[in-house]
Order: sequence, then structure tokens, then C-alpha cells
Amino acid sequence: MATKGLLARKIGMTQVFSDTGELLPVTVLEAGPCIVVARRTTAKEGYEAVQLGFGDVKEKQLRQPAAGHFKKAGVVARRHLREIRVRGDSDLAVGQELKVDIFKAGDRVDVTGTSRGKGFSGQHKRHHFGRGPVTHGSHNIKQPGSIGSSSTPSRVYKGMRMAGQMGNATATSTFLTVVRVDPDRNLLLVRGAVPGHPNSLLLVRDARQRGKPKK
Amino acid sequence: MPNVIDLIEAETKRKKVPELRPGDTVRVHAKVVEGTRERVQMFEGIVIGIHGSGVKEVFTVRRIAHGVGVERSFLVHSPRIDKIDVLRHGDVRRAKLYYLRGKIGKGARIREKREAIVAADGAVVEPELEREPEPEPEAATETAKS
Repeated sequence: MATKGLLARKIGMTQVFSDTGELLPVTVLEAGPCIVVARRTTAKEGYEAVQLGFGDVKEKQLRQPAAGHFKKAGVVARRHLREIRVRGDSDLAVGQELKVDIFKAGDRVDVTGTSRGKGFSGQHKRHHFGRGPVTHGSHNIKQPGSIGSSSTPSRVYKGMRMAGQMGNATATSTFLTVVRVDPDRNLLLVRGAVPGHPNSLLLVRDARQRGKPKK
Repeated sequence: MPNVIDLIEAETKRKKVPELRPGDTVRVHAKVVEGTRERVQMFEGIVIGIHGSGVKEVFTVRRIAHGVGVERSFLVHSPRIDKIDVLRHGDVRRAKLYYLRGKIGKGARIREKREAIVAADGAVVEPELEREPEPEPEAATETAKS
């Protein structure tokens, strides 16, 4: 369970040098500032979470229920709202502002967003199938191959990998290293790629614990 | 907000890059880590090609060391490079001097450019004509023998 997180906007990718002179591929994110708009508790909602708001929005663009929600919390209106699950003893309170400095270089984060839509894609692109022979009269170039046996079971198993919509789905890049934090410009540079196109909304959380914690 | 990527790349780049061209003879002051100590190692030779652009711009330097051709590529903007000295500008007619690999001794020489070179920022780099030719005939003769 995450203990801290931010909403962010993907800006794009570039390369920067590490302290040791290695050229690192990084994604630049405009992360935060975020405001805690609501707190969910086990007592009331049955789970522990905070709702974060991010991004400027004009008051007149808000519908009344949304305007009321921000008014009740006593915070300025934000464009995007997302919840992150936190521990019950989390000290995040409504109205608190989170900035990018909650992360520091070297931290590990998980970045969640909506992947780029690829449309209706074949098996080769979507599931990395191989292709058949292209020459010698082959008509099997982009066919899916066998999708199962015959009279037993007389049906196709559920979850059989086939062509279909690819991308435009929630995806998470896990355990990315924070390369640099720039609190003045609200920038977060993480090593590697993150889901989505530039300007897409992302959720950056501290990475889930993997393996045994280091002593 | 202005283009943040451009800003970050501008910050990543070296502030002062000498006018580098294929055919130039350069001395690269590269930082090398030996155990826990860091020292500066020189690598002197001819720039045989410049690849890429922006942060990842790379130049390849070729030299003959002990009769053996050695090529080393450097990232122009790498913090591991202390300094790049351009010793002389060469007069060459192509962008990649791979033909030097097949040449030894006298054939691997490059004429010096005698006109002033106008750098990208408008600064005029006068050729240093008084500089004597490279004292590398030893290595060259060795290659010729082998």
C-alpha cells in the first residue's frame, strides 16, 4: 500500500547524465502540487484512502456537485481527482498540499496511467505471436494458428489470446527510479518509460515493497 | 510553461563546446576512475566522425597507439570529459573519415585547414598556423613495418 503519491502530467522523454556520467533515459513529469480533497476511512467508507486533486480549472467550468465537493473540503477547485490507498495511520489531512519534494532522487515509484491506444490489433502486435512463412505459396502469414483441440473440449478456452483492442487501458510501470526532483518547477524525472502520451494524467506512488526489505 | 524538455536538455549540455569537425585533431581530457581515485587521461587523435545531435551527440577519435589503430567514442556533453582541446582543424571533404582506417603512415595524414573557421555562434576561429606538424612519425613507421 502506498504511503504517498502525486498526480502528474507526462511531459515527455529525454536523456540526462547521472553522477557517474552515464546517460540515462528519463521521462519528465510535471508532478503536483496536489491537494488532499477528501479522506476515506474504514469507519465511514470501509477503506483507507485519500483523494487528491491536481491541475488548475476555472470555477465556471465546474458542475455544481463538483463545486460543492471542493467547497465542503474548503480547498480551491482542481481539474483531476484520484484516490490513493493509504495506511490507516496516515497523517494526510484534508486541505494539505503535497508537492514533488515528497520524493527524492533514488526513490522507487510506480507510475499508473492510460496506455496509448493502438486500436484493434492482430495477435502479432498484441501478443507477440510469430508469423507463418511468407513465401512458397503460404497463406498463413498473419494467421493466429491453432486456438485449441477439436471434440475435447469442443470450445475455445477463455482467455485465449486473440486479436482485439490494444492499449487505451490502465497500465502501470513499476519500480522506476527517481532520477531527479525539481521542486521549483514541480518536475519529477524518472528513469525509463511511463504509460500514455504526453499531457496524459498519471498517478505516481511510492513503489510497492518487493522482496525482503533492506535492513 | 515553455518547453520543459528543451530546458532540461539545455541544462544537461556542456556550456562551452569547441567547434568540432571531422578531420580536426583533438586532445580529449577524459576522467577515468581507478579504484577510488579519479584522474584525467588524455586521448589525442583525429575526429573521424560526429554522430547524433543534442544531448547524445558523439564524436569518434582515432589515433595510432604503438602501431595499432585505436578508436574511442566520446559523448560531447558527458561530465566524464573534463575538456576538449582542438589542436588543429583538418581540411577534409567528407563527414565520416572511415577511409583513414585502411591507410597507414603518410597516407593517413590530413591537410590543415588554412582559412579561418566561423563557428556556429559567429566567433571566428583563426587557424594556428605556427603550430608544428604532429610529431608522430615513430608510430607511423612502426605501422608501416608491421
